[in-house]
Amino acid sequence: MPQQRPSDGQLVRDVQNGSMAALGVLYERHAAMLFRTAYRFAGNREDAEEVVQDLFVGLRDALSGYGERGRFEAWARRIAVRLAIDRRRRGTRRDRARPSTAPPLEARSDQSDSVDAVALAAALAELPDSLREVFLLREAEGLSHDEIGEILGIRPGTSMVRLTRAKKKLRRMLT
Amino acid sequence: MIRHPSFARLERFADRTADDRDRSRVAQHLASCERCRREIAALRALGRAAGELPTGGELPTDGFDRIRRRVEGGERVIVPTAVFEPPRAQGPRRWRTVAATAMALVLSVVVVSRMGNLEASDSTLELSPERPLAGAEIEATYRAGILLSGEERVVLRARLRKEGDAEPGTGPETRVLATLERADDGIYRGRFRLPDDMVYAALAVEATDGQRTDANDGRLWETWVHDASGRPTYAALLERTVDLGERNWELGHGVARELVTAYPDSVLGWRRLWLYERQLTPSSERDALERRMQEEFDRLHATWSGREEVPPVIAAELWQYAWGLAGGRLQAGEGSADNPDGEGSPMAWWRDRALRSGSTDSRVLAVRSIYNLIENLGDPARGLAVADSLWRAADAPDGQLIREADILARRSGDPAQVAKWLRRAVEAEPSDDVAVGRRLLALEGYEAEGVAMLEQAAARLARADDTARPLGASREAYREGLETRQGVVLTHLARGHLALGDTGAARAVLNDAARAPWDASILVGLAEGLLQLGDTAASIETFGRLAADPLRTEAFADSVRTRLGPVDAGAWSAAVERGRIEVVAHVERMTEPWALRSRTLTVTSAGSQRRDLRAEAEGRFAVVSLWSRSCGYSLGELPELRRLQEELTWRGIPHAAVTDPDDPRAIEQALEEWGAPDLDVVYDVDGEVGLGFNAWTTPSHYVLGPSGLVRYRARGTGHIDDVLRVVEVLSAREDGASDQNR
Repeated sequence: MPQQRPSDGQLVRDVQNGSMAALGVLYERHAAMLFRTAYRFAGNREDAEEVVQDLFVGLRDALSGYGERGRFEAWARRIAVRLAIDRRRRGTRRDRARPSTAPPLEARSDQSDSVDAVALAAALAELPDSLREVFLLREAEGLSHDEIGEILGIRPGTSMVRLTRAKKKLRRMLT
Repeated sequence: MIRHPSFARLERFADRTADDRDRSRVAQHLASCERCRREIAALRALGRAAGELPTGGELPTDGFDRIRRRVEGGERVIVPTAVFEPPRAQGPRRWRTVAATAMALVLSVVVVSRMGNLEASDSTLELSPERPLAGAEIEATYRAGILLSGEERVVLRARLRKEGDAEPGTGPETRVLATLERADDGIYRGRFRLPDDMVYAALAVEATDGQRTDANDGRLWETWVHDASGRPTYAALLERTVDLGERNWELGHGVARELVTAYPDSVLGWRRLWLYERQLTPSSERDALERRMQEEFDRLHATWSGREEVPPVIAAELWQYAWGLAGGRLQAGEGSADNPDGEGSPMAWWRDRALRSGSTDSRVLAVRSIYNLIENLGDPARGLAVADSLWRAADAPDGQLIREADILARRSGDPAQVAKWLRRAVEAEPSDDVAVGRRLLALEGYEAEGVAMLEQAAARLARADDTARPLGASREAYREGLETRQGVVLTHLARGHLALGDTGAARAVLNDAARAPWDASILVGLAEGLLQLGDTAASIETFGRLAADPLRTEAFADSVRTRLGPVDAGAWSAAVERGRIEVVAHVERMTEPWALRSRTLTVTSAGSQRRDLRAEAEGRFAVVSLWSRSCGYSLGELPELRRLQEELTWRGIPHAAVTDPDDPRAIEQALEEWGAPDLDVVYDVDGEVGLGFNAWTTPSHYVLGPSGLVRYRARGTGHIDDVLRVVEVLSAREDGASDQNR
C-alpha cells in the first residue's frame, strides 16, 4: 500500500516529539522558500543561510508557540523574515551586498514590465529599513497589512503609510 | 483646474486596498486622465518587479547535515515566534470594566446631540469641605449660567465610585445626591452626605426634569475622599484616574502620576501609569521606558517580597506586571531574560504566591487562567475543564477568564462549548447581550438562541431607566441614543428571524426599526432586511433614503440600481429627497451656533509662519481639529484625522489640525508612527485656539460657519463621519440659500 505523504501538521507533531527525520522532511519541503525569503531581507547569502540554519535548529522549541494556527509554511516564513530583519539591523555582515556583487539574476519572466528588477534592487538598497521591509513584505511576499503589522510590531495603518512612502520614493528614484 | 487624486489615493487604488468610496472616485477620474492612468500602471509595475528580485541562488546541499549536528550537539536557538500586538488606540481600556466601556459608548453617542451652550460653562459649583473624609456632610453652592438660572430648584446628580469599581464584576452607579434650592440671591444651595463607601464622585447639575444639564462644559465637577491628614486616599486616586481616563487622557495620566507619587508601593498604580506611558512613548524611547519599568518592578519586588503578609491580589498584580514586562511570553525551564517565568525568577515567585493562596478573587484566578490558556491551547478540552473550575470558584464573573475560555472553546470546535461561554459572558456583563446574540446567530444550531438573546437586548434597551443615563446627557438625548442603539439591535434581530424563516416576525421587527432616529447603519440593515423579505419597493425606498447621506457617492446609487434592477426614477428621487430631509434634521439636532471666545485664532506652522484661522475662514465653512501628542486617544485617531483633512481638502473646505506647542521632530515622529505622516499640523503657540473654542480635551473638532460662529463641536473619538456630514449638509444648505437670494 503506497505510503501517504505526511502533512505538515503531522510532521510538526513528530518534530515536537523529537523526530529528526520529521525535521529533515520539513527542511526538504520548506528550506528553499525560506532561504529566498530570508535573502530578500538579509541582503546576502551568508546571513540568509544562517537564518535558515537558526530557524530549523530552534524549531522544536519554537513549535510550542505554533498552536497550529494557519499553515506551517506561513508561520515559518514570518520567523524567517524576523530573523533576517534582526540580522540586517544588527549589521552581522559588514559587507552588505550591493547590486554589483549580487549573484547572477535568474532568468526573468518575459512579462517583466518597464521596471527593471536590478534597478529596483539597487533602489531598494537606498531606502530606509522601515520602508524597504514593508515594501518587500507586501510586494515580494504578498502579505496583508495585518500580517505585516504582526511581524514588524506596527499598526496596519502604519504599514499602509510606509508602503505608500516607499513606492513614492522608488518612483522618484526609478524615473 | 483639474484636481488629481493624491499619490496615496492612487497607490491604494493600484494596490486594491482603497475603500469603495475612494475606488469609485479614482476610477471616475481615471476615465479621463491619462497622467493618472500612467501612474497606476507604473505602480503596478513596481509590484511585479518586486516578484522578480534576486533570490540568492541555491542552498548548500549539506545544510541539513549542519542542522542535525547542531541539534544533536545540544545547541539551542531562541527564535522569535510571538505575534506582535501593535500599540492599540484604546488607551487605558485594559482596566476598564465592560460596564464603563458601555457607558463610554453611550456617552459618545449622546454627548454631541446636545452640546449645551457656553453660558452653561460660566456656572460654578463649590463643595465644602474641599477635602472631605469618607461619609462627610457636604455643602453645595451652585451659581447657574443662563441654562439653569430660571429654575426654582436643581438636582445634583453624580457618578459614584467605590473602592474596587475599576475591577471586574462591579462598576459605578449614577444617581441624584441632592436637591439645591434657589435662594433670594439667585444662588442654589443644598446639603448632602457622601455615601460611606464612596471614594470618588463626578457631578453634574440638572433641571429637575433632566432636560437641561450643566456638566461644566463636559468637564464635570469632582469630589473625592481624603484621609485625616488631608491626603487623597489610595482608592480615591485610583478611581479618579480611571474615571478621568475615559474623558480626558492627559488628566487621567496626571492623576496616575500623582497616585504613584503618593503611594509608591502601589503595584496597580504603577501598572496603570505604564499603560498610559506606553501609549505615549515613541518607539525611539521605548527601551528607556522599559528600563524604568523594570527598575520599578525590581523595587516593588524587593519591597513586597520582604513582607510576611502579601495579599493574594497584590501577588497577582506583581505577576501581571512581570508578565507585561516579558511581553506576554511564557516558557518552561530556568529563569533568564529569555525565560522570564522560569524557576527562580521573580515572575515565577509571584505566580506561586498567587496560586498557592487559594484565593478565589478573580484577579488571582486570572493568573491561573492565563497559564491554562497557554498550556492547554493544544488540548482545549482539558483547558475548558480547567476554565470551568475557575469560573465556579471565582468570587465574581470575570471578563478575562471568559475571553480566554472563548478562545479555547473556539479552538475546540465544539459549538456547545462556544455557546456556554457566550452565555457566561452575558452573565458577567449584561450589556454584552448584543455582541453575544450576533455570535450565536452565526453559530450553527444556535440561531434561535441568538434571536432570543437579541430580543433580550432590545428589551433591555427599551426599559433602560434614568439611572444609566450618563452625566451631562439630557433625558431627551439619552432616550434618542437608546432608540438608535435599539434600532441597530432590531436590524440584527430581523436577520435572525429571517435566518429561522420567520418572515412575519422579521417584518414586525423591521417596522419597529424603521421608527428609530436617523442612523446610516440602521438604514442599511433595514434595506437589506426588506430585500430579503422580497419587498423590493420598500428596500429601494430605504436605499434611496440612505443615498441622501452626503458620505455616500454616486457609486452607491449605481450599485443599488445594478443590484436591484431597473428603479423607477420618480420613486428613487422621492426617496432621496425624503432621506435628505431626514439627514438635514439629524444634522440640525447636532448643531447649535455659539460664539468663539477670542477674536483671532492665531496658529504657527512648522515653518514658523503665523496665520489667523478665523480670518482665513471668514465667509466660508472651515474645520478646526485639536489633538495632542500627550493624549492616547488623539494618537490612535491620527489616521482618521488625516482622512478628515484629505476629505475636506477634496471638498475645498479649509482644515487645521492644531496641536500644543511641541518639538516638530517629535510631532513628525508621532505622525509617522501612528500612521499619519502627511498630516499638515499647526501649533497653538499663543493658546488662542484653545481659548477661542474653550477646549479642554483632545481630540476635539469644531465646524466654523461663514459668519464666524461655531456650528458644531465634537469631543472624543469616532466623530469624523459626523464632522463631514455636518459640513456637507450645512454648506449645501447655505450655498442653496445664498443662491436663492441672488
